[in-house]
Order: sequence, then structure tokens, then C-alpha cells
Amino acid sequence: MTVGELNPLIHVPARLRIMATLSVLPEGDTLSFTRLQDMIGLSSGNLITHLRKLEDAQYLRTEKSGSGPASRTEVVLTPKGRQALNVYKAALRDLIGGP
Amino acid sequence: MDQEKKLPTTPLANGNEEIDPRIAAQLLRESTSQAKRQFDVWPPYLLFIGAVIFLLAFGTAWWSVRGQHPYTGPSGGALATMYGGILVWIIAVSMVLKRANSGVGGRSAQQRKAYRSGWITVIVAYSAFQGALYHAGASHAIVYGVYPASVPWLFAGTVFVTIGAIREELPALTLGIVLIALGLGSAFAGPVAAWLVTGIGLAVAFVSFAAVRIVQRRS
Repeated sequence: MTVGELNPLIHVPARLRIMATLSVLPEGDTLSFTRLQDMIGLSSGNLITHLRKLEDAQYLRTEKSGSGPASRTEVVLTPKGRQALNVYKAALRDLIGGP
Repeated sequence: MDQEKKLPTTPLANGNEEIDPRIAAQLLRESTSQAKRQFDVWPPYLLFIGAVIFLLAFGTAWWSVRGQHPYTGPSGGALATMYGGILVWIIAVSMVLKRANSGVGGRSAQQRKAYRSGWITVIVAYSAFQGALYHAGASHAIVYGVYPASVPWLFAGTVFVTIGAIREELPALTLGIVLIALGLGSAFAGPVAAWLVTGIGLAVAFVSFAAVRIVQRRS
């Protein structure tokens, strides 16, 4: 196992933090964009960029409800995303020899 | 070691930096544990506060009834202190729940609504049953002693056992069994000692639960 074999979509600080944060929620639970932004500490633009990359890979889903100032965006980790994170964790453990 | 020092401690500029696997592992651990803390609806400090409140609340009730012959029940002041303490506890729990669940939707949000309805039903049923006992001519020792000191924990324990069994959650199941045991224990203690047994039992249960939560956070 080499560093290059780590999933490049996840092996980026911001996306790693997004995935780790969402994985703590029970399966099927959503998190609002604003709460996620609070927890991760990224600007809206950066967060949207990273979410889009993860969404393109079908690791997460975003759901928008309402319109105008009352609109709300929810983010949810998909089963595929959860599995990808587990594989990434196992690969990291292999690589650094941790528990 | 030097690599670990590179871990950013301030919010990331854009999050696209390349990272060493060791730093990635540390970031993963920290992000996961930070998220767990922020989503935690039973933080240890809340449980420690609960232990103190319930010990004082039920201890006050016991203090006011000890030595009563015949038994008439806790004084108005003791009841005000007890229900005031319980109200403070409910407000504290509501604030923590609101903060932890802010922005969280989906299945858990629906479950929370169902639980809320369930708890309200339980509280109404508990109060109505106390009224029924009084109406049926049950003694003060039962209506104002054994029943209010013991039965709420039988109700609450049954709810937690049911939740634990349905969701296959061992902590909820264990808590339910402990509460049922506490309810039964205080019922057998009689109308006076029931208050003290409940206060001490709840304090021990809360502190034990807090210790479990601390160990879970570190693992």
C-alpha cells in the first residue's frame, strides 16, 4: 500500500473532515449546510466546491428545500460514501500500521 | 513527530493541501471525536449536573417526610424544591438537545418527534394514575410516597428498555433495566425511605452513565 493508493477524493483535509463529520450521524440522517460549515470552518464557496466533488462521486447527496432566503440545503452521506470512508480508514491503518 | 506538528490548528484555507497519511489519520480521529462531542445529546457534564439535582431534589423530599407519623407526604416547600430542580434539569436537557440536534434532520428527527409524544403520554398517564389512586381512597403513603418516588422510574425504565430493544442499543437497554430496578427497590423501601433510595440511586446511575460516556469518548 502506498500513499498514491489512498482514495484521492477523500485524502484531502477539507473532504476528510466533511466525510468524518457526516459519518458520525446515523445512516439516513441529514445535516444542514450551515451547521456543517460551522463545524468544518470553511467558507461557503470552498465548502460548496468540496461538496460538489463528493456528490459527483456519489459519496454524498445534497437536498435543497424551499426557495429564496428561507431555502435550506441538507447534506447526507450515502451508503457508497460510508463504505468509501471505511475502505479509506482501513487503507490508512495499513499504511501507518495503526490499530 | 515533526510531521504531526504540521497539523493545522486553525481553519483550513481551502482544504486542498496535500497531507501525510499520519496527519490524515490524526485529522480523521480529531474530526470524528469533535463531531461526536458536538452531536452528543448526553454529554458527561449534563449527567453530573443531573446527579446533583436529583440527589438534592429527592433528598429534600426525604428530609421533609422523615419521622412523619402518620405519613402525610413532602411539605409544600420540599415539593417546590423538588419540582423546581426537575424543571431546571428538563430545561438543561432541552437546551443541550436543541444545540446538539441543530441542523440534523432525517430519520433521527422523526424519531425525536415520536419519542416526545411518547414521553408526554407517559407523564400524563403517570399523573392521571396518581389521581385515580387518590380517588380510589389509597393512603397518603401510597399516593404521596411510594407512587411518586418509585413509579416514574418504572415508566421511564420501560420506555428505555423498549427503545433499547427496538434499536438494539445496549446503553439504553441497560439504563432501562437500572431504572426499573431502582423503581422496584424504592417501592420496597416504603414511603419515607423511597425518596432517599431514589435520590441516591439516580445520582449513582447518572454518575455511572457519565463515566461510560467518558470512556466511550476516549475509545
